[in-house]
Amino acid sequence: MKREQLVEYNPKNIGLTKYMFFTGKGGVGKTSLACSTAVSLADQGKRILLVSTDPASNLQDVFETTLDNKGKQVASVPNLTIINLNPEDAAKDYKESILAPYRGTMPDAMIDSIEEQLSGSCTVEIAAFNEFSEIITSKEKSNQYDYFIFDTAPTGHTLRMLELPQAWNNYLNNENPSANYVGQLSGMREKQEMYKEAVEKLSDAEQTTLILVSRPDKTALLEISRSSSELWDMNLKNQWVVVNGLLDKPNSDDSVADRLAAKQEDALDNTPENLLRFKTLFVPLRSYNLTGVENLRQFFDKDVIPDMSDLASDDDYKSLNELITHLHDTNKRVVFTMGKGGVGKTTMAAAIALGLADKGQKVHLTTTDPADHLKYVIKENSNISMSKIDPEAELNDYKAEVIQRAINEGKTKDELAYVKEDLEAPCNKEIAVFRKFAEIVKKADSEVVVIDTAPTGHTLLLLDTTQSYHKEVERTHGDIPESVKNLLPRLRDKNETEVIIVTLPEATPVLEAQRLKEDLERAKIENSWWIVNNSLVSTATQNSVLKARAISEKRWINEVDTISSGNMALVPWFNQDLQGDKLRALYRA
Amino acid sequence: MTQKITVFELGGCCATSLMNPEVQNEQEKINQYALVLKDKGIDLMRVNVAMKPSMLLQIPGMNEYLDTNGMNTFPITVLDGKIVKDKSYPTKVEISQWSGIEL
Repeated sequence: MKREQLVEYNPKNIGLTKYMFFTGKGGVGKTSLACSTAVSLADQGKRILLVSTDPASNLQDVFETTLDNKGKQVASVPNLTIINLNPEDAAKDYKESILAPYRGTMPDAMIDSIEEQLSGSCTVEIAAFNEFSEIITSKEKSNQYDYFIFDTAPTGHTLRMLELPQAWNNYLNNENPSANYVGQLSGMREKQEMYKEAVEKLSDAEQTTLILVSRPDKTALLEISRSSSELWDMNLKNQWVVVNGLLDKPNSDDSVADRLAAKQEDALDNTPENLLRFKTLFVPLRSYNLTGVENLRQFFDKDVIPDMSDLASDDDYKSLNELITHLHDTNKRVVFTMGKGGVGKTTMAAAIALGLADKGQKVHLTTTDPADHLKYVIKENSNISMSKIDPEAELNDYKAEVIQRAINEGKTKDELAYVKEDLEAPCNKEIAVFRKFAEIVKKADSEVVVIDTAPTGHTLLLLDTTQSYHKEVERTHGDIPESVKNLLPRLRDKNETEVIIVTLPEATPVLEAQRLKEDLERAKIENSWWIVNNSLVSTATQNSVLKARAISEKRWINEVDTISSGNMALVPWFNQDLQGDKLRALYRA
Repeated sequence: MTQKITVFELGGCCATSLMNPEVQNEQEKINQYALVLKDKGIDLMRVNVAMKPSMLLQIPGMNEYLDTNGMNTFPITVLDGKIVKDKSYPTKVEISQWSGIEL
């Protein structure tokens, strides 16, 4: 796809449906776009309901009004009503409604256990969907507003779950829940009809558009390609693709801007096939994200370059080299880099492995990224051995195992469908990978094992619960669970293990990473070090848009510096492809 | 003769059984037995405690049992209101004995 083929996204010029859902991973700009779209339409005299799940703190700053989950009007934008939902709160309420009657009568350990089971992202997803459904099926609201704008959307998985007759049958009959997932639905008895109606509306192309938002980079586009096909399979076919953050072709000689523009072009050239059938639009890279109603109003028309003093020097921040030295000096044996998709976990893990090997340690690097360029890292270094975990392959192996067993046991078509859907839940992949990793750690005779992914605290806590089942079961299958059993306590040993959180110097990535940290803490796994990756600060760019973005990064860099008590490695955005040995650039001054 | 056999388990999210092919196996077997027993008028059921905590706590003596033995006692099997087994799933032999039906 060429840049010229993209239509500029401007709500004044493009036909919009009554319901719009913006979807995409954290940090791509869903909220910015949803808010600007809402403001633009409201200014045109339309009655708008904006539903946002963005943290209240952010939105309240932008609109200068306190928000709630019922609907608040905005003084500076007549015709706009905003509902601020926090799905995590909704999930908490739901959890509490189940547990409240038992506090004091049920043993605490049991309350904790049930609470944990209902604390995963699955529950949050369903709680969010519950809120959306109520809004879009409300007859009253349908008459009150011309447009409904949501800055997030349910995943294909959630929608499929709610579709399966088995999920509801299990619940309603309350007999033999053949899969545990149905637990999440137990609070929603009366809602089956409402959910059905909501899903119908979502798939009605006349009424609803799903707007897939992505940054112009390869990984991000791959990710929405996946979401797109999941949603397409659920009959949600009215989709658009919006590429957010396209840098204007620079005419200066700024090497950073040039390189960034080239990377973006490359990403567009490699747009996944399945996205090309949709309307594709773009939004230019702005100097700012959300900074007040007046800027939102101009979002589609022009950029607003803020006053810029020179970028203050970043001498006070630690570098990747210092982190590597720390790992070496404290004799860490197991190192994880964890974080949301696209932050650079694999690159960081490889750089760390290389750095430790350079210091003379024997390192085993395990990567979940099929990228070939890591091969060269190993060839040149006798100190490093490498293994790959292909998450898809691991997951497929496991799925095949489970499904075959189900078939052998004569499950009905409906039951099989249910087993299969159960296996699609995101945590399964995490665990399949973790299981493989546990094997690798057990066998490795290297000094240090580095891996570029980690399960969430929630998953680990669930694993913990299941350990107790094993005590009485004598089976030979036990090889793998055995190594996992041994790995868990190692992970909690902060003298042996370092879990490093990787993020980007932007609002949503930092907030999401913070949640990961809290999740880990719940599982009693320590995290001290963070890496902030791809920072424009210290790139000495003179491009005005990039310079402004570098300045806005500072706030988030400082935030992470505080969270990590100064144990933060700031990694700059690099002007070159970091292949093989070039990775060393990341930690060599 | 026994009318109701309930196996209480701690399971919540999808992933819990993934690490335990054995547990999944056990669970599926219970499902099978349940189908057979249903025809004979006997109620064999697996209950996810997170879904129905009330069912568990209504069993006389359950609270004390949990207090004494802790969370590692699941799965707990209850026969017509009496706790008969813990820490592992009931076997085919045990269920046959309790129900009087040859499985």
